[in-house]
Amino acid sequence: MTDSTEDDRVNASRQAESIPSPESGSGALIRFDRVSRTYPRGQVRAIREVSLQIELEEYVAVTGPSGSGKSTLLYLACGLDRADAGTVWLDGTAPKSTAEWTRLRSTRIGFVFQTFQLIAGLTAAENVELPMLGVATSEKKRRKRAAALLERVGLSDRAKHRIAELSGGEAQRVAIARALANSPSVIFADEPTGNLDSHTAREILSLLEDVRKNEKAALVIVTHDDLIAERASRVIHLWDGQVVGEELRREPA
Amino acid sequence: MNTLTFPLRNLRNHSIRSILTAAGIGAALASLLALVGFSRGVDRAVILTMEDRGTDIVAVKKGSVEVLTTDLDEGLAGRIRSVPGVLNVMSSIGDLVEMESGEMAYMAGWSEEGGFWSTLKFTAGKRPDPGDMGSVVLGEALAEALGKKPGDRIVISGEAFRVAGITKQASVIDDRSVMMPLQVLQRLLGREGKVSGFHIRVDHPENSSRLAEVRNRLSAAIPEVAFIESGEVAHYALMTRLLHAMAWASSTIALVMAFVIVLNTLLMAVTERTREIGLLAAIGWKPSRVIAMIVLEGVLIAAAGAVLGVCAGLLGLKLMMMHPQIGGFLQPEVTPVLVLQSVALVLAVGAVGSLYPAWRATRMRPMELLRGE
Repeated sequence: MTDSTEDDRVNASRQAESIPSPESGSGALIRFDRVSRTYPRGQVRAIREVSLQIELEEYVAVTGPSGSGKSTLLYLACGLDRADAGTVWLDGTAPKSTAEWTRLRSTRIGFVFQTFQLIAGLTAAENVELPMLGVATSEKKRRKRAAALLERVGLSDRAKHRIAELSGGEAQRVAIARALANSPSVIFADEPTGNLDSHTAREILSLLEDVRKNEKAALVIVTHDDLIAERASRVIHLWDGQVVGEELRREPA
Repeated sequence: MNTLTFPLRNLRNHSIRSILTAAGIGAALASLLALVGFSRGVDRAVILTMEDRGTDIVAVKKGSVEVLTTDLDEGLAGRIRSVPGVLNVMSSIGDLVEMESGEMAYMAGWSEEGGFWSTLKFTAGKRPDPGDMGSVVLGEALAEALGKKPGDRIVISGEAFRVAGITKQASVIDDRSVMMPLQVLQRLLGREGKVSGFHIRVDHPENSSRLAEVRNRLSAAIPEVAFIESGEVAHYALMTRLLHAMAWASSTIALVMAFVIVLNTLLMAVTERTREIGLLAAIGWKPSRVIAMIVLEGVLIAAAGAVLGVCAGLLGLKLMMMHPQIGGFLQPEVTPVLVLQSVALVLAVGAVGSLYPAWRATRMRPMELLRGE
């Protein structure tokens, strides 16, 4: 307990040194400035005064045991959850309203989930088109873009297939194509390989890394798998709602 | 993929539920069409009857709730005739009768005076000669139903008559009537010296102020009698008023049921699709777009119900008209305007019924929905 408190103090001090002031507009893609989130039910402090930043096109892995606050961190970063204290910055702005976050999610953020979160009643191509409804001007453009994205993830021959007709790996590829639909600045992947066998998991990870490079987007992967985390250029370790360490690594080949 | 694809796919993925919901809405629309159609049909028949006979004002007993059985003294005709502006007066008595074959018919007894007999358009035979108390005229629909032609015998209330002629009138009531001299029907009904009402023609019916003026004079001269302009008779008669009230009450209940059906279906759909709705929020769908999607589902299902309802309503009316007790005696008035109004009402019910589920969908927290799996 004493060690943990000491670690917290050291980390907080380190974070305070490395993070610029909120008004500086540091140029980071995402910045957390002393962000806290407590859930009223059970008074669970999911995130405690976290400060961090993620740069443009950076490849970051967020690791930690279950309940360490990884997913909460991700949901706060995209405005699906709101901080009790502190500020979340995205692209130099600190969105205040739900409408602002909604707009940013549709244009700047792509999501990949562990359980794919695809809509079973739609085809692969239609799932990819979903984020573009209301963003891309015409149906023809949406269809063309979806076809191009499915080709990029190697699924052009599965475009008209329902989700139930796809394997887990194929479904996750569709989810990656969907995440790229509106050319996001950052792709958040929440345990993207958690439901896949090891071979498919490696393929999906490689695909995510490829699209990050090609799309020039940042990639933030939430994982508890060290083998996945070590492929990122930076690893952020969470413990009990706090950043307890960061590691810089070599950019994957 | 366009704005319609997603809601259509959602409905198709639960095809049985969607069909049942549409069927429920369709049943509501069909009842609305049938009831309102019949109610308007009765109004129309009464108006046509008045137009056919050239009636401008109808006199019935004041305070009576049923025009058909109102009982007035036949001698009032002279007092009515003496009011300035009155051109002529026809005394009439009427009642419903069940013919021996089970057909329903309207019996009308008309006085010689008033010119009613001359308004009839005969397709066969002719009117009974004045003073002929043993002949009657049949409306064409009734003659067809009974298989009668001029010269045939017909038994009415146990008494035999000769069919003198067949007439084709615009009103379905006249088309289903047995017309006979006033005194004959008075005797058959045991109401000698009594009439149901008087049909009055005025000198300048095209002038509405003149019409109102004559009516006011009549009311002042004979205060114990109610004088109604022919266009208002349908609203005065108890039967038509009851029919209107029943039609609207039943239609309202049917529409409320349709509303509840839409509400229930879409609430179920929203509850089942919480994760999906969470996902849409996560990928940047505005709440207004989510609401539009669910409302569109409500409107689409109501539209399917409207198509079913219009088909079922029209088919149902056709089948009902084939029933001997109804067919020909009641002629529903289902106009394109009524169909469009009913469809618009049902679409509105679909939209309004989906607003609450749509609102609930946007109140859900996407993070919890996505984590919920």
